[in-house]
Amino acid sequence: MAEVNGCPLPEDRLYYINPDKNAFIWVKEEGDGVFTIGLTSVASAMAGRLVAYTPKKVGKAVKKDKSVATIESGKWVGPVPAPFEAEIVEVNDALKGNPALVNDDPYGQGWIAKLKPADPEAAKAELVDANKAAELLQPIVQEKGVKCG
Amino acid sequence: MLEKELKIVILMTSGPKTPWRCATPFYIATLMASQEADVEIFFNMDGTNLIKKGVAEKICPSLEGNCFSANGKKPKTVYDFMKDAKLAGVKFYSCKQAVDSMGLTEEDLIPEIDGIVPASEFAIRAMLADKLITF
Repeated sequence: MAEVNGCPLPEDRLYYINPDKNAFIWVKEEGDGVFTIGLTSVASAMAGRLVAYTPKKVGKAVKKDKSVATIESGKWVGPVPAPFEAEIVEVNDALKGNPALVNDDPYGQGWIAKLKPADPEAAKAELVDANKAAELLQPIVQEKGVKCG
Repeated sequence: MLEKELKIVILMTSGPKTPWRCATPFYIATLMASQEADVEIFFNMDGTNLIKKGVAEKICPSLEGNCFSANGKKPKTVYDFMKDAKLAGVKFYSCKQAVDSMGLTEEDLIPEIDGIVPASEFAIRAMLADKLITF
């Protein structure tokens, strides 16, 4: 398992890391052209314990870097940017009642949304593997003093 | 989530004299921008002091107003809240009359400012906005 400052980055998925867009997202291909996305452990640590999750509606088309959902903690609020242009095909109803699942299980039950891009291969083109994600996240965790565990 | 993209104008008059009033406006602006609203913050009165270089980064949004490092963790300053808003797409404008009256130039202001505009510009945008919020 790749990791950065104690924050795990599972190797069974890809990552979209773009600090300029506050994007620290994992992306897992599910088959049938559908991708599940969520916050990395780094992002959930930076956000703090979430208190609210407000997704966009199922069926909505989102452009790359535009908001898929808004998440809030006690001291932070922000969009979850789409890693690629896609249609939202499912949102996580479990998060509406328990947003902290994003913190407790960011790579499992804390998923943010399921997306269906028009071109799955093009969608994957800008994503990186776990080891590259760890390399890109290293300066971020150093600057912001992020630690997990 | 809202279907229509709203135009929101925020007049920020709070500043270092009332540090406990300096985080929530940016938090709310960020929330609105995250939901695709077009959000502009106009700084005036004590709010103008927040956009001077070196000021907001020393203010914590507490009654004491002072930042200190608790348990080795980096404290979240008012400037951090402002940067969250910028990251979400919120635009910052300073009032030209306020800046001039304080003897400031563009070089004295934080790089996050999108423009120095006259009060008339704020007035027009406030009248055309879907919502106007004052802090």
